[in-house]
Amino acid sequence: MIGTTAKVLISVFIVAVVYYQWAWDLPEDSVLRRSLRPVRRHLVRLGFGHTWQLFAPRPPAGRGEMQFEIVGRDGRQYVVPFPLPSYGPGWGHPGTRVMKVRQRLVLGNVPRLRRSLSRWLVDEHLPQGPARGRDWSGPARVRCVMTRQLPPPLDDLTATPPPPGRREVFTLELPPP
Amino acid sequence: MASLTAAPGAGLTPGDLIDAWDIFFFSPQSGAVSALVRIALGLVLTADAVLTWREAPFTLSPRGLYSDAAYRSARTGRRLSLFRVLPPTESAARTVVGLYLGASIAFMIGLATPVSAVVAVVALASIHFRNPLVLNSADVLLFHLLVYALFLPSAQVWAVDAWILDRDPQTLVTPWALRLIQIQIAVVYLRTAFWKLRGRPWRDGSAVYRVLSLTTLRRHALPKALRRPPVYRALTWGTLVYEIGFPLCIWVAPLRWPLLAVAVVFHLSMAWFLRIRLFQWVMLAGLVAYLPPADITRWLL
Repeated sequence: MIGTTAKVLISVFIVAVVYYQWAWDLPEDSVLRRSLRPVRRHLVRLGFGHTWQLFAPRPPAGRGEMQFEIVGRDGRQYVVPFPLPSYGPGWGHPGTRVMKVRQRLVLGNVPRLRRSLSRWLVDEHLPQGPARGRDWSGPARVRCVMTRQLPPPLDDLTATPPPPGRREVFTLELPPP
Repeated sequence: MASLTAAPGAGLTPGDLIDAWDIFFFSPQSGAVSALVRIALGLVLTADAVLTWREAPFTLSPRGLYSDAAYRSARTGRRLSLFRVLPPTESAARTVVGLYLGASIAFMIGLATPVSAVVAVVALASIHFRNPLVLNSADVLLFHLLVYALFLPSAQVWAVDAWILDRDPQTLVTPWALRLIQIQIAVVYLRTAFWKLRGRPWRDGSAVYRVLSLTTLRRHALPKALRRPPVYRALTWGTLVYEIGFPLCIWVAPLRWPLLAVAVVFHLSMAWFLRIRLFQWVMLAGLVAYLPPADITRWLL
């Protein structure tokens, strides 16, 4: 069905793909992973960057709430929880996407996301909406705060949960419009 | 070299290895399993496209949480993507998602299969590049499986193409692309188990307890009677045993059906308890590649 030359070429391709599959998500210091460095950028450009660290090595836990404190140029302050976009129940619950964004904000250095998200919150999710008053002079600062309530330890499920931890994720000064 | 090829009974020779490679990747088999992979993957792609359509105002719109300006100034904004050539409008986002939906349906039913697969890859990559910040492992795995499916002779049977071109469903096909899908699924399990073993919660048995305490992702709580430390530990360690055992043992023919049954229960349970979008369904679509071709041919063709 397939000629010898084609088999050889396909076999080379198979070896390359299996090598990539195996080596890509190894730890940073792995020799196999480092050997992919020359092609890494190109593969990422094609959409092949990945990691299979599913809930690993340390899965998050508990109830996490992210909220944004938006301070206007007139000094007024608004508190906006991370809004769940509403597109109904079902398998595509928005929590999946929201959680990933929250995770990026907490773990990564993502200045573009911070700026863009802050603008989006101001434009779409301030309590007053687009008609927020004639004296609204625009936002001056957005502060993102994460509160996490961890569950009690596994060995003592009836224990009182530890007090919620609160941390500032970022503060962004916004230029005048 | 001579010593390697001589001495029968002294172990594997290079010739044996080449033969084994040839049989594993190139020995012709029924196209039925490849067709089932196409249908399963097409179903998941279609579901993903529908969900992406609903999410578009939030994730892809120029006025969404990741604005067009943020996208164009980021590195991903310079990647090959339909969004680079389309105007930054809501309808452009809808067009790309619509293209993805149409290509996914065409791929699922086997209509112009190679073309629809390529269009689906381009549209899906464009969507991923437009907002990589919301992507999870399911999105990435779906993209990988779709790329392998480009090489899959999957329209030999149960496809509009097969009906139009009057293809013989009994024609055998080479399974090398199917093997890449199988190996990819095995690597996902082994690699995730590798990373999990590096985390204390997975070693001390508390990981599943932690995951099920995540209010954002939890769909259903564990029944009250089961909310006990030994159960959480058994589920945590059982997950590790499954994720290591499946990819190692699935190649043993008598174990294939029992392991596939365990895999279905494992992934459906996770889909029941957790809202992790389509991850379980993408894995199940990938697991279709392990169906024994002889059984499938006997039962369905």
